[in-house]
Amino acid sequence: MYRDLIFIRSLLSAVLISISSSAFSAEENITEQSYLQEFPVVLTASRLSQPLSDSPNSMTIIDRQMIRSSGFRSVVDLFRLVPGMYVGNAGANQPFVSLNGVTDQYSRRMQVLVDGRSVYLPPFGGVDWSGLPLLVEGIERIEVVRGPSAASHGTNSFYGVINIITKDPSFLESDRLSVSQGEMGISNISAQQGGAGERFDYRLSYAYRADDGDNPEVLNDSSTNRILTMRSNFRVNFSDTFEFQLGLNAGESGRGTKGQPEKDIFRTIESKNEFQMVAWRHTWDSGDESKLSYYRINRNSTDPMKAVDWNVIPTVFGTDYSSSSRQDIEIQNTTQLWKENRIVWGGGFRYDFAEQPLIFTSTHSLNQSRVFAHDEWRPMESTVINIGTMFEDDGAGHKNNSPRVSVNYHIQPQHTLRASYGTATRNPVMSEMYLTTAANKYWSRAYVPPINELRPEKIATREIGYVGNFGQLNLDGRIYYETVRDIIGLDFYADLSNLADPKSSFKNLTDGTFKGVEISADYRWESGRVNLNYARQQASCRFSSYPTQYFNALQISASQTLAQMLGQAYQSDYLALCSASVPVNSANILLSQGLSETVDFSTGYYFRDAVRVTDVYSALPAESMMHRIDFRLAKKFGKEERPGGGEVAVILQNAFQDNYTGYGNIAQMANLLFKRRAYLTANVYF
Amino acid sequence: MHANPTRITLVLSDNTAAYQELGSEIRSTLAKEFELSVISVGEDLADADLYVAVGMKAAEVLSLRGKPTLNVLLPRAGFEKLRRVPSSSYSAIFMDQPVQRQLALIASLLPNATSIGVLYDTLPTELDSLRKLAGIKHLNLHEQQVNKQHPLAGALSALLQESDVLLVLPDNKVYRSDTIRNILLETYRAQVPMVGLSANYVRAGALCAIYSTPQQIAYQAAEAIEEFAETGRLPAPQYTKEFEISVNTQVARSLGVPVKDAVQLRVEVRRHQ
Repeated sequence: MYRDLIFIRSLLSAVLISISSSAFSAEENITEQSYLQEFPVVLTASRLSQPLSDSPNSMTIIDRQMIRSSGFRSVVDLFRLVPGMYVGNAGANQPFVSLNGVTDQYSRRMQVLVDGRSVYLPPFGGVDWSGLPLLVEGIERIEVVRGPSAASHGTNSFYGVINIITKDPSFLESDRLSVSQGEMGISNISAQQGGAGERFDYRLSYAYRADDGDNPEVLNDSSTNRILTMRSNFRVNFSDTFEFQLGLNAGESGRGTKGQPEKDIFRTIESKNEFQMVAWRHTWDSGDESKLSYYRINRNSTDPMKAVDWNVIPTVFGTDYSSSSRQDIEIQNTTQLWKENRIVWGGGFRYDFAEQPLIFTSTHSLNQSRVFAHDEWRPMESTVINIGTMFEDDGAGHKNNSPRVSVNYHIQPQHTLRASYGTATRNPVMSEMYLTTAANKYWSRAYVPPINELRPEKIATREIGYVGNFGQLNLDGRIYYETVRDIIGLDFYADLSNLADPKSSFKNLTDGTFKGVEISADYRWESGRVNLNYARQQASCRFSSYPTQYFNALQISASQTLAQMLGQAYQSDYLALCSASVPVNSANILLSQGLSETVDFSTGYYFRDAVRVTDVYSALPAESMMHRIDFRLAKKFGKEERPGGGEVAVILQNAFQDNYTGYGNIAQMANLLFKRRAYLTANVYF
Repeated sequence: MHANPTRITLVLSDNTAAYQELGSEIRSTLAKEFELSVISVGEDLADADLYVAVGMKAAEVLSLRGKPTLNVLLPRAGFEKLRRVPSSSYSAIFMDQPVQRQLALIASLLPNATSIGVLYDTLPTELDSLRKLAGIKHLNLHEQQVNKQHPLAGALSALLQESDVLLVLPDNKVYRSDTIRNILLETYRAQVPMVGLSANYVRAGALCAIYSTPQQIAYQAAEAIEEFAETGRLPAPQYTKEFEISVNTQVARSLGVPVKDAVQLRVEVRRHQ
């Protein structure tokens, strides 16, 4: 691998030098040329981020400084810095995240973008976080939109949007080598090399990432990933730029539960995630901009020892192969209609494909299409109106319109009130539409496709927000009221024809109401910074259409108490699960303080009330309250991020061993803890 | 009024648009009684009562001739480099803006900016007056040179860490069409606004710039020519009286800088300078 990197480096350097060798001419410095010189438009409309005070949604920005201070080594952990966001683990190698609202471990109600690529994938509609070809060190910024935002972020921007932006290769960054070693088998190595020239910029990254998981003796949740990414820009002339990106993540992740050799034997899954992306940006003479982009994502994994029949003894094992892919092409235009009105508009097509013979009778594909427009109008300097919509056809017979409107009023330039109404749609995913398996052949439960056709879920959010700036203090708060129609859930006895062999399927079952308050504060001083978030939320649901067998006396689990059985008998579990699926209170504080010129200290406190993700049925314990504290101490040397510079840091996670329990949808997972762990990282720039 | 019309020869440094435009602006601003010819450097210099050198190259050629010359479209430093003593028959209208105006613009648009960063390869001639004025106005001036020991990337990021605003001083080794991209992206990433030299800088992504338009320069040149025709004397070398301010409102909003109207800014700069 390193040999390859060195070769690519020398090749690209040669290209770079040949392109830029003519740049330095011995022109005399004092002439009128400095005043007459023409330049390309660099900070184009799409590069300039909309300030939070003009944004139609509440947004949390996680910047490089916060990423570093947090000490987190996985992308998913960073979302603990977002008010109200849930971060869960179905094993350390299968993390998932969701924002205020009903979710299960296949969290599928958020749009997740990495440099504009939508990375939630069919057939389940979730994100394979550990399989993403993405390095924490390569992230420039993460924007988390809290609330529906289909008009500006596309399909599935339902509870919210995670928008990950990696470092642009045009940034003048030094090459870097990082190493992390620590307890629980933590072992990371990453290297980054790049160059920025007159017409061509590139950045190559390589990473090796491994750990033994959180509870390897109970749950085989170890993982090893090898990641290679490339990002480059090629400028044809002042107005045309091509961007190319490639990425590959080859991973091995453990599966298996102690004491379940018949259903879930210890084994290793191999997976490969890759993508290619190309985008062409054109800046028009007026300053307007058009961008045509195409990307392709491909993911496949092989489970060599999946239990495929445990109705018989001994269990039959087989190979579980799954493959999913996405291709997407989009055109987006940014047009200044008049001085105070700018519109972003365009459209796109998407092809989604999934294959997994053990759970689908055939391969499935969907051809989606969409058009969108988002207008930002400033009728007065003090007022910004954002209005937009997306119209989509999901290729499975659903056509949706998802409008959003907001009014931001700057009471003073530094104080803004926002009122917004936003909607979004979540189309049923392939797993909800097509799952077909017999009992004890993949899952314990048998699945059949829906008896009634599924309708898309609809969300509508009403929100009042405030964004304020008091010198070094930034404040952000919102109160929201969200209604979700037709939440798709599991209908346990969908097929009444044979109750001895019950079959489940998905059905539009409930309507939900989510209410809450979120407050964020960010305060900086000369040698430090503190970032504070608090969220209080409440969820409640009611049936919009009843389960097929409303009254159900059959026992789901042998360990059920009488009360749980009665609750289940009247299917009230559905409603109880909904309201327990969000933590009432959650908060975090991230504090960093320079102790001297060369020593940095930071600490993170993460609090969350008990919570129960909806596929953790009442018979199992909920995730307990969490009070976790992490520390990081770093010693810097040389110039920050410049050749010869670097730092050595020690990170201690869950320093006081708070015994909070995590997600567990089976008894064996119920009381697993996140054990205190320490690791060292070193970064060197050259 | 002269019996014979005063003969004026405009000598353009080259034939590109900027010079042509200034030439035609002067022609259309001047009263009709002048006999005006326009040539480029390299063409034969016909006899004239007054030469107008447009740009540095023309100024260099004419500085050796000892003829009455008005120099336009050149920076003050360029005029001083010619080493010909200004007189009633040798003068200039500078195209750059006095440092006071630049600082007045920063004071109006970024009232909280106390640290001003400047980046250069060759020591800019403006630096002396900038240092003095910054001292008087209690501003911190951070100077950073780009050289072999401090290549652009390191020099810029070090400078941006301690600056509230990056003030561009003319330096065509630092600010080039192939480096402006990296510089602007880096300033935006550090959330430090750039004050540029021209409307082109603002279009590229600088927060603002103060400059004189060809019309403004031509108007002042025409005034000097008319004075010369009437009195036989050119006014002393001077900056332009009129100036223009451009603000990139998109950049301003994204950086959280309260947007001010260009007209209002001009009034404030006049008052401050």
